[in-house]
Amino acid sequence: MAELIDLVKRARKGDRHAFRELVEETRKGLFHLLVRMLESHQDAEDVLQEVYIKVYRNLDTFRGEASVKSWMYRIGVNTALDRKRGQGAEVISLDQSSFFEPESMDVGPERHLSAREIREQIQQAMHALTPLERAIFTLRHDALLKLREIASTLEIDVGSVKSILFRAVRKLRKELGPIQNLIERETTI
Amino acid sequence: MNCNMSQLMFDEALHGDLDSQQEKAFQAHLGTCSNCSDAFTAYGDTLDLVERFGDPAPQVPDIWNDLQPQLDLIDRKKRHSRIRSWGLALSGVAAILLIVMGLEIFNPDPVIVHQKPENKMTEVERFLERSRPLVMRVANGSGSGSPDPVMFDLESRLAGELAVQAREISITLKEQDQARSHGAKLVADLELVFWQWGNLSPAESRHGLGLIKEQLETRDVLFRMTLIELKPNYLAKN
Repeated sequence: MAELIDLVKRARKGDRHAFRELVEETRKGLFHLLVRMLESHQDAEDVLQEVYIKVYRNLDTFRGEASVKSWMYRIGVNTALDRKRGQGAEVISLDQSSFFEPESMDVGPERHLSAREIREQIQQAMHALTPLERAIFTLRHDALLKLREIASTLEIDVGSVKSILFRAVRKLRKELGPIQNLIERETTI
Repeated sequence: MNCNMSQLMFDEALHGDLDSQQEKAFQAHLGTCSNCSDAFTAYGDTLDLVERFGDPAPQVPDIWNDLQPQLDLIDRKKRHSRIRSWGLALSGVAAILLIVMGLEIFNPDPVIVHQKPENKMTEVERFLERSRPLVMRVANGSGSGSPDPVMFDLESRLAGELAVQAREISITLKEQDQARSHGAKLVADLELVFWQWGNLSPAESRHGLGLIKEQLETRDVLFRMTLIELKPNYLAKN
């Protein structure tokens, strides 16, 4: 697998295959982030295209000060925040069945239902977060970026990242508290 | 360490990102603060729950086919922009060239005409101006019929004077190392013609003027004089 920075350099010289490879290497993480932030599969797909168009247009301006991933996530977060601002309101509907992978086959029907309920609760809890909180949470726990990398991606200081991340998890805890207690009881029985 | 500081370390502590000194201070605080200890456990449980149940990877759409036409459009715009930039640059260069050429055409006197040899070259122009009526007279054939003796005498004397002036100008141009210029050559040709004309006797006037006309035509004198009128810097060129 080629390094992302090499792909950027080649794409900058007009190598369309290199850009396609860059898209393939990064679209999963970016799409996950956008789904989290926008809470809409369709919006995330639209914004994903927009992000890659911006990346393509700005290949010449990438100076390599941040990692390619950070640079692309920054474009992704900013584009998603712009979309949210443009919408004026949070997207509420979320057709989970359309984009979640199938359940594991070794889970029984009762457990399957329970897992679905828990999943729905978690999605609801995610609604309680602001787009920025969702972005930081996703960059940390899905994209597995270091706090320093998140700070660089969002161009804020590390202290702010820590503070926002703590606030986000506390909100999730508050929303998920009842279901968490239920799970603990089931586990002990 | 206070509670706020310890809470901001929760995430790094869970991921093992604290250095040993921070880890030691963090654990020491948890050991003395049940609130932070409970909050840290809850923090970990929440992340564990989200990781186990709430993080199904969405099916990532293949956007390449939709993306390609838009990338083509960007490339086309970039190319047009580059061509437009080059076009503007070339237009600028062309405009500068036109200005320079315009200056050359409308202010054609070379340095050599207006600087050091200015007076002598101007003298050449004045000489050509004085010579023109005589040259035109022969070239138009007025000398081919029986010339008026009075007029012939007058023209002969005038031609003799012009021949002398031509000699003086030729000497000066030679001193100025311009003997090989077009102006100097024309003056030399006229000197020869005027010299012959000035020495014509009335008896040989008709035949002599015919020969002079031939010489003027052979040497393209009238054409060269016209050329210098139109393009005076021709005088200074070799």
